[in-house]
Amino acid sequence: MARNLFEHHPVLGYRFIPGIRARVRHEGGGYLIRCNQSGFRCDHEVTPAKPEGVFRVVLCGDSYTAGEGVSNAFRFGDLLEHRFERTQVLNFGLPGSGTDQQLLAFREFAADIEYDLLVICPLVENIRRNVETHRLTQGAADGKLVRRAKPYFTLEHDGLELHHQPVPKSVVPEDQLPEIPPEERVSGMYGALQRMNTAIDRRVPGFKGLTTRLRRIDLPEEYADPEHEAWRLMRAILTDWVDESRSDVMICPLPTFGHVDKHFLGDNYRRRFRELSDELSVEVIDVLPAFWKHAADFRRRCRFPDDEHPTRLGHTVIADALEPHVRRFHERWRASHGAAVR
Amino acid sequence: MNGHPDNPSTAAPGNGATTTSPRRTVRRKPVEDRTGHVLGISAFYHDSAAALVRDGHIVSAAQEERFSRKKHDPRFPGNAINACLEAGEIEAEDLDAVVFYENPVLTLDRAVRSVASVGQDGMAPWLEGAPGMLGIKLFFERLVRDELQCDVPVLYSEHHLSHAASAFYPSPFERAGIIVVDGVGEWATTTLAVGEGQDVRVLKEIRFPHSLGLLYSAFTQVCGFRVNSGEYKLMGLAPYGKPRYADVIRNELVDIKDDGSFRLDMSRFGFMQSLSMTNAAFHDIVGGTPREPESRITQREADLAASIQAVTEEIVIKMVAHLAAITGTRDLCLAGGVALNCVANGKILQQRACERLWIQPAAGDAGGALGAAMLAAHGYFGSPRPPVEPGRDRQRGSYIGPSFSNEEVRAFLDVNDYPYEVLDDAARATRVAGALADGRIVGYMVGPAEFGPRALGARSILGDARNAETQSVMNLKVKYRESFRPFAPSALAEQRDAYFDLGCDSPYMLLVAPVKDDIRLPFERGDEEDLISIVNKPRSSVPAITHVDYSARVQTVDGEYNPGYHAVLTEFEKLTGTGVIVNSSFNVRGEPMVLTPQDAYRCFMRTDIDVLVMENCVLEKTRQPAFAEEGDWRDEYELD
Repeated sequence: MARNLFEHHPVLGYRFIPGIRARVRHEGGGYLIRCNQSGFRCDHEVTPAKPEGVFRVVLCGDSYTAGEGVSNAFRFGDLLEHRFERTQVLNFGLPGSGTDQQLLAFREFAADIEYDLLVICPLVENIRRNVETHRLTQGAADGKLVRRAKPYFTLEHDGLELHHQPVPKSVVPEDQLPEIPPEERVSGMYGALQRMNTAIDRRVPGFKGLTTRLRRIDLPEEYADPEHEAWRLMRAILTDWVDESRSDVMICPLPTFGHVDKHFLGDNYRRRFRELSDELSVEVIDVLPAFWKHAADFRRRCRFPDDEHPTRLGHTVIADALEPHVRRFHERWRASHGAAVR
Repeated sequence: MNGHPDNPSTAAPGNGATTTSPRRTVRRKPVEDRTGHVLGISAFYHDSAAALVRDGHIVSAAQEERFSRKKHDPRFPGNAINACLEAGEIEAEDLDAVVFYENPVLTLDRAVRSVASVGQDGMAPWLEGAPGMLGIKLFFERLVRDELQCDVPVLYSEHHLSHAASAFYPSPFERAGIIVVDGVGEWATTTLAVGEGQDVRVLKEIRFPHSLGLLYSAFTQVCGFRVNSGEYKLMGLAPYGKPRYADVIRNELVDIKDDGSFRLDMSRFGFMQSLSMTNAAFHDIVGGTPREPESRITQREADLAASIQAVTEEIVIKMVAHLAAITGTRDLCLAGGVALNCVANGKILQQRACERLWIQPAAGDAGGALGAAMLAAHGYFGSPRPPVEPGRDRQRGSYIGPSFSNEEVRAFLDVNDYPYEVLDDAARATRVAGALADGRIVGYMVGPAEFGPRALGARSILGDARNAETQSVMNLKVKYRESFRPFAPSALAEQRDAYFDLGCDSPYMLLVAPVKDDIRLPFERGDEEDLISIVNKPRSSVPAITHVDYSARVQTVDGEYNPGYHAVLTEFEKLTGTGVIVNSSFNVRGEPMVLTPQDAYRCFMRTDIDVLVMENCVLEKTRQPAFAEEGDWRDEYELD
């Protein structure tokens, strides 16, 4: 359906249209979207004070967290909420966002509210979105795809510097986009090989995965070097974010299904986040083992065949992985608020 | 109807078609798992659609063309299904059943037998229709499961049973006669039925190839209009002509009995052997070959239109009288494509052939989706019909399509920097009324979209009915359509008797009535054949909506289902003393009615519409930035 789900936002670039109720056609059979008045896919309104006697979790991330492909109730955030007594999960997931926009969403809507736990769930590929300055979006009345600006940070000597504030609304002509450095351009030959790989994979499912495994690729390669510019930027964003939080923080880097299916190694990103955990004294949750303990057939059912987002089953696995960690914080909260909770 | 032994086409329905329930043994959901939700679907012929009911209440219904932007889109209505589940805010697995509006096996049976009856000559229509029948329709269940990705039970209704259900269940009646007339369903082309409580029972049928719908379509084609969409134009053309060919039709084409049953002389029709509705023998008696599409319309076409209209009315009125006699009820429900012939509908009331009349607003195949869903809800799952208040029905003004919030409209306008004002409901009504009184054209998109082909003040283009030039200006500069086509009025329900000899409300714009004698102006058409000059001659104090025969296709508007639109009329009446405005569908020729803010803005900028209202946002054309498009947008739409 031609229902537009997003509106311009001067800080984030865009957000869900506040209060929108929609259903999206999808290969998984379609899913329902319910948004709160702050413009996030969340069944709760964002109030400065949390409801009395409630453990409130602020959950941030991209489309995996927002739950593209599944209805609100089947997302890992909502599943977690129902596994704990007197718990409210405020979902600030923003589809298509980088960690930069996720931090801005937190600052704009969550930083000043009352909460007990902050869970940051960057998709490991978000590291690439952080260095992008523009995004593809639907155009005007003709509905064609156009490029618009997004907010982004650069890492300067004295810290993060925010650009594109307020985010311009105007469509950027292709010839005015920043030039892609030669080393980041995809060569014609490489592109052709990728298309051929994809075409064969349609006829011989698993072919693409096999070729990736044989090449022992560890993507995203930005995690390979701790001094890589993109990782330094992401680390700085997460460091500032943890510093700004007024509660306990958990970071849960979400793997792509290339990692879940063992097509990509994932060693590098896991190493970087472990280092970050030590550096910031923050709990980092690795959800890959929760997927890997299952057989390949089970893992395949955790994602949609074409759309690489988690199915209901995939969300359940993520919730399973997070549950024991959230439980510790929840129990600590219960202990300190025992009288009120009872 | 079946009292004529010389008319073998009439028959009591066979194969147990008198049952209310869709017939198919399927695995039902256990009672404790049922949610009361049933989804109806019509597709693969024309006007595919979906409808959702909950415990027998209509939740939503939508036609696929509004999303796909392809007029009369026959494809599987994935977007419409999505919109219905969206409106119900339910998961697909919450559905108790999905119901298809007809029985593909019976349709195939009819097609095979029809080919066999004409031998080799039937190959062309067979090749045209076979892919749909052998392919998609027979694999409907797989399509549903591919779309919804769940194992929902799938039921099948029958085409005319679905139409009959769509006419009776939403009506205000507890017991009523039902007439369904269209081109063809599986076998039936005309069905007489009776509805009582939760049951719909088929009494009699006329079977293919003897079809009043196909007879009307044959004249549509001969007059140079497109079959399955141009029938409405033929009806609009009829008042320009005289029924000079009516006797020829009665004598040479159709044998009409006293009970309204009829039989076509198939030697003069082409649709069994070819892709043409007619053949040379047909052309011999109607003054020659078909008019070339888009060529000048002559008096011959106007006379042919008037003639087939007169014969159609005669048949329908005889049927109504016969049905009243065999059922003992004078309350009547209508559906099927022929029920969109609002001139005939008006004649039924004017001649007092029935006491009360209710017509399904989506009387064509789209409405079959709603009928199929309601049939399953009431007849199969046993949901009681919801109670209805006096003077109301169960269709909620047919404002049961998708809607867009103010926030969604503003998101669209803001991101594109299109200038607009936000007005509250009262100020909006005043602004719109003022613009109309100044002779300006207003695009009006407020509230849930209409289900059915008529714009009822949710997706409408509005104009001043007092201005004699409104009709030709709106036809040529806004709608880009033929100049002879009349426009319809929306009238304050409380003032309808001041303008029209209607005698009842007409909320769905499905009744044509004469304008009152005391507002008529002297009008001599003369022998002119130039339709524009005829159209521009004032015929009443509301000339833009008064057809050349002093008739009007009336929508009466009350404050119950569309208070915002009623407020516009009220304000217009305060300003001008006239409680009537022009209401046309919000589209251009060949385009489906607009649905989304994007559709509405695009149509606004492509035409001479002066003001656009989208929910509480009001846009002036003069303040909008230049609207550039690649190529000629007229190429997007096939002429209808």
